[in-house]
Amino acid sequence: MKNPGFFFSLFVGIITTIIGALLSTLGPAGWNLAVVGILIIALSIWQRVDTLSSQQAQTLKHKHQPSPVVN
Amino acid sequence: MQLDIVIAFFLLGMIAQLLRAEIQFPRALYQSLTLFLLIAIGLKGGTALATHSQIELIPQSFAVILLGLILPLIAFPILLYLGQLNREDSASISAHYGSVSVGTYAVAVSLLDAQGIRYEPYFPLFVVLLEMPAIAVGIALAKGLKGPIDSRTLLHEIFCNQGIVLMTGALMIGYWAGDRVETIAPLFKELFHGALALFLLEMGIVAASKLKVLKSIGSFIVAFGIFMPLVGGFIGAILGLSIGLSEGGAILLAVLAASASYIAVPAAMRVAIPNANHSLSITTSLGITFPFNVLVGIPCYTLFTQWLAQ
Repeated sequence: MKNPGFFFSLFVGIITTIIGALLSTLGPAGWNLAVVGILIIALSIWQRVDTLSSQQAQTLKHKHQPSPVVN
Repeated sequence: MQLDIVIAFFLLGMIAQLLRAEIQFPRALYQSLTLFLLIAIGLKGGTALATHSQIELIPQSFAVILLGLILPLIAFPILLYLGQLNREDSASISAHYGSVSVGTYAVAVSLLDAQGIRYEPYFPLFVVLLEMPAIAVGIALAKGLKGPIDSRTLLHEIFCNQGIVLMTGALMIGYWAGDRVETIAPLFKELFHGALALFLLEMGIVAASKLKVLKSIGSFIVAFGIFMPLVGGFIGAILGLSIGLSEGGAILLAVLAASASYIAVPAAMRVAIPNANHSLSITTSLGITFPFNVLVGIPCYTLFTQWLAQ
């Protein structure tokens, strides 16, 4: 697995949302947990996109750099 | 569900910090409130222990110690392999999550009292028992590290830290004094909720100040700070009911298993694993897990335990 941390946080977000939704059938406190789960999913996706886009920008920067001139 | 008054003070502290309102909370007052809570909880437990000494306490105590040994063993591989943290940081954070937060326990007790849910009055004994095993496991997990450990200083930190000494001492005084504790009840019983509200105001300020670093520490640590209390709460609730605790007792054990230490363990880990990133451990336990438990976790553990008990 290339980025286990990302998949773990995504997994935690999904599980938390599901548990929250299930607990909401017992009482309103479950909804708060579901919201926390959704926030974790959003945070992990946002961070992943942020990392990937900065990596892409770095690659493009390297590509466009002129090759050193040899005299 | 109605918001508890002490939780409202925690939210006030967080909001004040986010609004950058400069609340000058004296460090000495925070330390005094910590001492007060430790003594008040210990005394209450000791008094109850004097009248409720039962043979069931022995297997229950062993089960609680076992819980304290298991939790860091669950946390460690997650941090090491999935989080790809180094061994020092993984061991240190694991120890924090195996131990308990007295502040979270105090909030849970306050909520149960407000809802009229009964629990075993000798529960502070379990708080003391859960403080120590995780520190030992954390050190064992870090043993692969190079460099000598000053075992004398370490043992001193494990057994003579503020939390253990004050709570064990107050438990013993409460046990010995029995009904005579009533002479100091106006301070340690009547003022408990007021002192807890003040303590939570400061904790709200501290927790909100830690939120700033959430972006830099990454989503893994945030997810871990939510995942471990859920796992701990789940195991604690099942264990609590299976060892014969009442519904309220099982809720409290779930809360203890879900909480992470920020007083006793940090001091011990500084000695045992000096190279670990201690601010990362504190940020995770105090900036993520503590507010999560206080605002979201405790009502959820209550719902889950009540559903299990039915």
